[in-house]
Amino acid sequence: MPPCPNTSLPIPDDDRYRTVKTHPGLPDPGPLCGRLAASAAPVERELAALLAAPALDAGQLDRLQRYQRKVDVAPRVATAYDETLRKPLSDRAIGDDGHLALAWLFLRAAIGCEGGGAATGPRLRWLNAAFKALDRVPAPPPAGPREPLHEALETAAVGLLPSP
Amino acid sequence: MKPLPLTILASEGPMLRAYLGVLRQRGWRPERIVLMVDERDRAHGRPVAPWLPSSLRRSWATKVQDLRMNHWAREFHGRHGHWCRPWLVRLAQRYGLDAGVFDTFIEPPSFARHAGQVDALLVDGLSDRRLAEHLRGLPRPTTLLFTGGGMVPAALLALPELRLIHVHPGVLPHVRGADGLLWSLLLRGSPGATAFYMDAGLDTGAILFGADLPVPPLPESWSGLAPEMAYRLLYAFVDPLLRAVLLGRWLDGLPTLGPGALHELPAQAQGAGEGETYHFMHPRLRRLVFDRLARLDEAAGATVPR
Repeated sequence: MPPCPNTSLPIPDDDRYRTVKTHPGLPDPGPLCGRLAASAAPVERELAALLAAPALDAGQLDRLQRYQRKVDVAPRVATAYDETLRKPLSDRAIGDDGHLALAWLFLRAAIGCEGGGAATGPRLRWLNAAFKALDRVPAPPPAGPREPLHEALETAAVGLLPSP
Repeated sequence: MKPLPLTILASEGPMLRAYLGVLRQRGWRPERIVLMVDERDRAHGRPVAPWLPSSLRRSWATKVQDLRMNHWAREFHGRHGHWCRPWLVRLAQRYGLDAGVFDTFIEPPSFARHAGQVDALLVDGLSDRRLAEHLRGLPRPTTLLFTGGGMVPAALLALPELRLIHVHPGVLPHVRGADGLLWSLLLRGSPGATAFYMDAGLDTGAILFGADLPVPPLPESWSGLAPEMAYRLLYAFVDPLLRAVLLGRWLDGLPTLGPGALHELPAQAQGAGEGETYHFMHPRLRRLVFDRLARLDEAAGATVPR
């Protein structure tokens, strides 16, 4: 899979868990990061850190791919896992904020995926998972950037599509 | 009919029906069908008629799974026949077949005319030890065509002198995983399929034969179909037909098919880092595929007479 260094993606402000600058094509996640950072769920706190990261290193990208797989094939993303993200340590699923963060992170990965035409598959795979993550957030949302995120996904879906 | 040294490990549904229909049209007769009969009703997961004696229960469960798994083919062919049947004629023609191939999709579950022997087993999934025991008792070496979806348990793959072939609806290693037809159309602009020896991974086994295939024609009513109906239509007819067409082309291209001929064919191993695995496609992306398919059909319609 081509690397997705996301080097031009959001840079945190001085309070890294309060504000995340947006990237063209990405809506502002607003206070999402701060709320997740204060969550009791380890997975939600990890998502806050990923949201705040200016770029994902190989390890972070690998973990995000594991979350992508859970959104794609598992009935739920649990609030806690073992270190390898294989075994759930909780029966509870992450909340709406967690799913919003996943959708946002997947979209960021889709937009930031480098590799030209060869990256079309990985881009669309990220985008596919972003749509699925957003589906797990009820509309209208209790809070958070669901609608702007949905619009951004729609735009990306058309923009990332390979030419016929 | 030419004897085909292949046992069909049959999971009821359009894929099985497509293989049987295409093989029959091309003059192949598999040596055996091992029909897996679900002892649980797929609609709700409860056992089918557990109070019946086993032979009656198997017969009843065969009918139940036929109704469940072939519902949409019959629904389109019957209730929507006014547009579906003319389309099926064009669909068969596109792949060099007679439309009679689709009769196999809707006929009752009586498979004796398709194979030298039919073994029907009441089982609870692929992990059921009754299935492993039955396969262990087959003559060796045995080559099976797996007509279901998903992963095959390692215990079955490890049975000595037994190999499983599967046809994946995508060109491997490029498009692995679920919804291969849709991902192929989206990413490669055409469908494709690949026959391979199964291993413990998901679509990672050694490749026997793979090819891109012509874009299927669409029914006149395509633009008026609700997205979920369009999806069902593709999976009732197109996806299974493409797999069967690929299988038929591959078999036709093999030089001789004596006993055991399919067991040790040269096959190309897939590299560890090669390819992409995709998961079920979100309905939003599906709609993009349907639109793309309509454009491709329109372009093909300019050159192919309807």
